[in-house]
Amino acid sequence: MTITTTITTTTTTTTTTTTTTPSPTAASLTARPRLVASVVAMVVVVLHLLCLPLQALTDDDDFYAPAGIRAADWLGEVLTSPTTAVSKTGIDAAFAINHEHPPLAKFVFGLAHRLFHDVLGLFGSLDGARVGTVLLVGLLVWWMVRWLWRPLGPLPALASVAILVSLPRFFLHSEVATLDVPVAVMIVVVTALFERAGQRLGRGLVVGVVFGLALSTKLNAPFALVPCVLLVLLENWRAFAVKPASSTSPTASLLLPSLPPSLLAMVVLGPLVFVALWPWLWPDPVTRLLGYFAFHLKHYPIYLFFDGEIWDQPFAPGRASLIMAVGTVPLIVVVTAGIGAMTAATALWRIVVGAGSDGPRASPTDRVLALCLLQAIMAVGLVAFANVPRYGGEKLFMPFFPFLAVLAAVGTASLAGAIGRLLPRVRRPVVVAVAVVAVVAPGIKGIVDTRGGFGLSYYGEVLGGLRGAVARGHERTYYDLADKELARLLDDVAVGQRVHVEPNHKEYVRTWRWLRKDGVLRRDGFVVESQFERADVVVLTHERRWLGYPALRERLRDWRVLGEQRLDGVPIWTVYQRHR
Amino acid sequence: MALAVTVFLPWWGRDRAAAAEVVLAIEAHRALVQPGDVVLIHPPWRDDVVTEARRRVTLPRGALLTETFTRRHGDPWPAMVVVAEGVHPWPASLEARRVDSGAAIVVDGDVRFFRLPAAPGTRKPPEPPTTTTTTPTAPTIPTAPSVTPTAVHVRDASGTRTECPWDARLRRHVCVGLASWMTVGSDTLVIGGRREACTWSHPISGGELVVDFGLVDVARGLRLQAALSNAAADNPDGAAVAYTLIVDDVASGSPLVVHHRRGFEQAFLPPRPGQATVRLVVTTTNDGQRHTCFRLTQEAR
Repeated sequence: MTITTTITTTTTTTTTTTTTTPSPTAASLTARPRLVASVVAMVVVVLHLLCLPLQALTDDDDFYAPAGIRAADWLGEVLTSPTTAVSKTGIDAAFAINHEHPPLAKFVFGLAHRLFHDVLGLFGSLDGARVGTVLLVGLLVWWMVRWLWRPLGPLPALASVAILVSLPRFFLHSEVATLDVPVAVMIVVVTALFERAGQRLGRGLVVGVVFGLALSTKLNAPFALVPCVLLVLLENWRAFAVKPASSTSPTASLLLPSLPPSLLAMVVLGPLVFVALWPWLWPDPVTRLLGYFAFHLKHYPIYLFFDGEIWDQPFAPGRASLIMAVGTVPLIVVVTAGIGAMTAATALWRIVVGAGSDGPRASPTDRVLALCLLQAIMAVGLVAFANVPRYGGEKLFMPFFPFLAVLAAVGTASLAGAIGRLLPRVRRPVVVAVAVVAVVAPGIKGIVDTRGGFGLSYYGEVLGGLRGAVARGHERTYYDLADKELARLLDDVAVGQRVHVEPNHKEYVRTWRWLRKDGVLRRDGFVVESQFERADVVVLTHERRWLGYPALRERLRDWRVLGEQRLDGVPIWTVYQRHR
Repeated sequence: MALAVTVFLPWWGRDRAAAAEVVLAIEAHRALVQPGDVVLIHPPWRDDVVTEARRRVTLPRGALLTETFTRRHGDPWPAMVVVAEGVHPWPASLEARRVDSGAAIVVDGDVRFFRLPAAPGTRKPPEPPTTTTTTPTAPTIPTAPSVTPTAVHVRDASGTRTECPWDARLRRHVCVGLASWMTVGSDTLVIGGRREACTWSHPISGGELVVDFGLVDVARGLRLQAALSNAAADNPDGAAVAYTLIVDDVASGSPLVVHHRRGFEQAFLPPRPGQATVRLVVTTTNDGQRHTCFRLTQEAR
């Protein structure tokens, strides 16, 4: 009841605002969120840029960053020698590398690398590319504030950003050159633009183009269309009708609701933009498109350690994704998001019940809440219920987290309202501040505890934190994270010695190359050794998805320990010295 | 409430018993452990308990005390005794196995024990053939005697030789120091739409995986079947894998090649009198996701 009251009030305010003729007040209302959004985005970007040099490397950084740098080079070639650049040879030379994935985020990585590394010299080579992800996160939070400010109010708009940024795993993904956060950004932007477009043709065309950009980011972007379609159907279900036969029309006909131009634009313009933006497709569009789909439809299995068992084929069960979705964020976020989800479900119900036969009548507030709920469900449901490999904890459903943050912010606002009524003497800003701090504090503590590149070891209280999750048989880290703490330790204790990593040495060969290139590792430090038998020092990362891990642990048990990283008492990696 | 959980979780989830206390409890309940059991120390970060217990507790012959037991989904459960310290939960799969087997939990202070008998085999045996044809996509399940590897080694692209000794715990030949998938041993892969028992034999880029079978009775001939897992066969970027059978140091016919095709390919060695040394050499140009296996049986075409 409390929740409903809050939302109704907001809705009334919003409706009044949007139906009033533009006035100085309305103009200031528009200008303020834009200003606030810009400030918030700047703060978030600066925060991430300051933390970026501490971040670990994922094994995907070495796929996407070089591909991005090459793609940016190609843009230069288009300006200097366009004929060669757009020839099949020129395109193949530039885009054959990592052609399994579309190019938009990689273009961003490459351009960021050119600006922040080559031109300004502010960051190392890899971090220069990773600034691209940070800038996209800036775009994400700008849009979240801008989009949510009026329909939900300033508190949920700002709180949603604070909550999102405080999620330790999302924090790590925001600072690496991978496609997961970029596609989350694009899906939020598309959803926001779709919600705001209404029946306007011009805005609808923009939605179509931006949806094409999302398609050009990662394969899970097309599924963002489903919640949009669902919302349109729920808003217009009363407009479906059967027109009986008459003297003018001898057969009965089905009357359909008029679809918003944005939806049509997403279906028509989106794929066109996708093809237009991806040079790799141009020389042989049909074959290469089919190759793209074939790669992902038959994606090779990747080991997942879940519930104490190693899974490859059959794939891990769908509940693995659901457990990771709620288990890798703080409990308070789960609780407030649950409250927010109930609010959103109520909004969805109001949309269904209030649907008119002459078009949608739902308030912007209800539409925003409904879309956030549907997109969150879609993001996780896609991975949980489709017959696809499930691996890497939460990385496959990164678009879930911004929508989760919005729902949590709505729940936080409801809680703050309820507490304010219970404590009428306490000033409302104090109540709000305490509520928001309480919701983001556990996440921030998690970020601090896992600083230095261990964010993927964070587990929320639902699973009992890292210790509870590991005891339950979940993986303590993944992505072959190459943290700089380990690299520096090896530089200290293994100078001139041959270092081998188990169980997955080959990924560290790639990632350490970047650290050496960027001066994090000394060039005359340790030697990377591909053979266990020839190594003087062996690093064991305690990832249990590898079948050989128990034997390795056993084999190394009597070796001298040079260093070990434990979080909450749980070993993440151990550095062993061979006895001489 | 949620915040209270956040605040008290570190206190609640702490280790309750020192290693020495857990070891005393293990000694007190040593009768639970039978020869060949896996004694699993839980939670898995209690390597201090493993170290201490190995020094002080004498276990029955063949019992293995470890904190790192890992099982692939679908593989049979070994007989095991679980020693769980503190209030930490254990995996739901382990709990389901405990409930299925009716094992009771024995509590000794801060330590809980239970013993699980070996499962008769949760891995399903291959279904009997519905047809007598021997097409590559519908192989006959071999009823003839299988030939077992006696030694395995790898020679990589640079010519370096790596031995792959038998690892009793993993029940497979493990190529020491190479990637964790460089093993040879019984496995179950999804091939042609069903789980098939065969011998895992991952090749190495530009090198050779060499499987020696020693002296083999070839009087009835040999039948070699090889396949990629479905996922590997479907990978458009995957390279071909060649199996070359070498009998008495001479290559027997052309290599058996598996590539973009689901199901087993097969080749036959005609019967010849007496015994012969048999070796199988597995090669590929690119070992990316080359999940392959073979069967070698003593039978005629």
